[in-house]
Amino acid sequence: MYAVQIKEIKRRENISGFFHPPIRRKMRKDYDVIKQTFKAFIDTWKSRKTDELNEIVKPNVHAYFSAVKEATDGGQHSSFGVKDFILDIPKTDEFEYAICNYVCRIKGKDAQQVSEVACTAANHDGQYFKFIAVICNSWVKENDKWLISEMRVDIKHFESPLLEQFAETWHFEEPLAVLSGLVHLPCIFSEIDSPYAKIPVAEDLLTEEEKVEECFIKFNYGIDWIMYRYVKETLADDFKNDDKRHFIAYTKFANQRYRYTCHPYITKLIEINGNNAVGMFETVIPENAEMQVEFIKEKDKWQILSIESGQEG
Amino acid sequence: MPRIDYDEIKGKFAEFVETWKTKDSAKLDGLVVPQVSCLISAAPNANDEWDKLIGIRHFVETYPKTDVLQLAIYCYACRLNGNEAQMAAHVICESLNYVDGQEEMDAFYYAIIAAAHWVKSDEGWKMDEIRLDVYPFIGNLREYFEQTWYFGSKLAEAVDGVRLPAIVGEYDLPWVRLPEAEDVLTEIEQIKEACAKKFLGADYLVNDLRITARSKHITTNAVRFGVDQGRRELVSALRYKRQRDRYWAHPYRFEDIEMNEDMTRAICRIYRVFGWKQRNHEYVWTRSNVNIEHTCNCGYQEFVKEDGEWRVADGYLKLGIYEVGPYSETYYGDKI
Repeated sequence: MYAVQIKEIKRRENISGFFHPPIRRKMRKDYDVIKQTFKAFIDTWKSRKTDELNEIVKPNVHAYFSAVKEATDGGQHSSFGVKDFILDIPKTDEFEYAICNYVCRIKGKDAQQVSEVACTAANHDGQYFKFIAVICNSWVKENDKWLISEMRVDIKHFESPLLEQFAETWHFEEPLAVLSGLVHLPCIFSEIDSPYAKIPVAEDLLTEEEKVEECFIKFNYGIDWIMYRYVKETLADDFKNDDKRHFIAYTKFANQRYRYTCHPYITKLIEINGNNAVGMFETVIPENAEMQVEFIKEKDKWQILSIESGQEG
Repeated sequence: MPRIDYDEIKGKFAEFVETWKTKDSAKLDGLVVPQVSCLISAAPNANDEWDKLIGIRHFVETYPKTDVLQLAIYCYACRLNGNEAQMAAHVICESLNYVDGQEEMDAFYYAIIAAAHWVKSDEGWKMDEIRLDVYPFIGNLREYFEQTWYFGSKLAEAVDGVRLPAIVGEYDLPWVRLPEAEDVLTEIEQIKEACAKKFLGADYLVNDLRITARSKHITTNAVRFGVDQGRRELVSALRYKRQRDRYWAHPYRFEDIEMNEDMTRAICRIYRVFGWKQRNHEYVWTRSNVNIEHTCNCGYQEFVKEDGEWRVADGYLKLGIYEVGPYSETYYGDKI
């Protein structure tokens, strides 16, 4: 079981991280620097090497982690707080991750970025623990260097049994949203922290393929964070699966009671043909479910025309 | 003359609400277009079972009969743009029956949340789309109402055959449907609209409305929700509390508003009319209080003008039953 598990993680690692569309990118140094710096940050979760953290976060960074037990708002601030969070990630024999649903919007010297990072921590005895870290970062450019000025990390315990190390170290709330006592609220407040809310008018840096991909990410963000305005914006009026209004009403009613829902996808393929596109996306947790998504471009905006579940891998 | 339009719609909505009491469905001809579409969460088998003109007539004619029906409209908001308008409101309802030889009355206390689209025709403004969500609250007449109406589960959960609310906030709230509206409101009405935006946004989980209706500098103390900081923390906690329920309703009654000279700050006495349960003893309806309106809390709310818009600022509320006087004959309960 362990061997299969790790093999699967390794296979994913090859295709995980970021989707690279097969066309020449526009000149966009800032965008690429933030993307690589974010990956370097997530790498520290695996390597536990925090020496270069000062090249990633501001010394006085505001940092919130839902896993922090001691504070109901998850506050563990400054670069020391971030470093402590990394060093406190429970140790396991293996740790792998896939960066999914990455969006970054830039305006001048400010950027807002969100991503769902699907992680698997495994021990040689075959025990493993899967979780998704949803990370919202505010970035600022100072002295020609992009640094995180605010970091919000919500951790969703998903699917697998909770490993003892994690149960002892991290805080998890009940899966349903119930406000009682000293509940720890989610650290991310979607209407404030979303890249689209923080940077409503962003620089046009994405390739067409990335714009298609971002449409699907925004749709999932809307569902996961009960922002159905985003779902409404990303679904075409001719949405084939269902009446658009009914889809929104139903999906919202079905999901709103949960503390978190997550839909981390890696992009396997995007093909554009004029104003039409098809995307193939694969879920990381739960594993191997494929989604085939049809897009249409109208008024210079990509929207989802249909979503079909593909074959399980 | 949009102000005349605004007043006409407000008057006609009260006429519509009055038909629930009079059961005079003939009046609907002056209030709705013949091809009106209608969704009512209380319809027995599906929200659209009482669709179209025949459906809304049926709703009015079969409204469960009781000795007394008290109605009060709060959280009214209407945005106009040309020949169309989108309106939403809470209608608080008390259906009461006398019991022979007893002072205490049988009661059912509920809210009907309305969202309606209006169009201007040669015969004046009429509704071409009506959506009504019925939120049952307390009272021993509930079972009697359930012979006619459907209520659904208290909690939000998708199960086979689930009935969804009739109003979808992302489509039907006035600020979403008509983001650009004509400037017809008085300063006080703008303040009330900010409050309606906040509460209807909360009730229908459209949290960006709830956020933008509030001042950025709010420092409301809300320790009972586990927070005592600012806008982000407060809304975050309230949103989390809201998520699990099918319905919420936050109708607020305004009284005694005071505004500073340059009209940038205002403070108002407010009452939450419906929806906050008392800890042990609910309100008891009797022969002597049958015409008296009551609320479930009382407090003060500040408003500030930021970027040209009135926003909800600091305030406090105290849980408790307050009798606030006779019901309004106009059905609109605010006292300013």
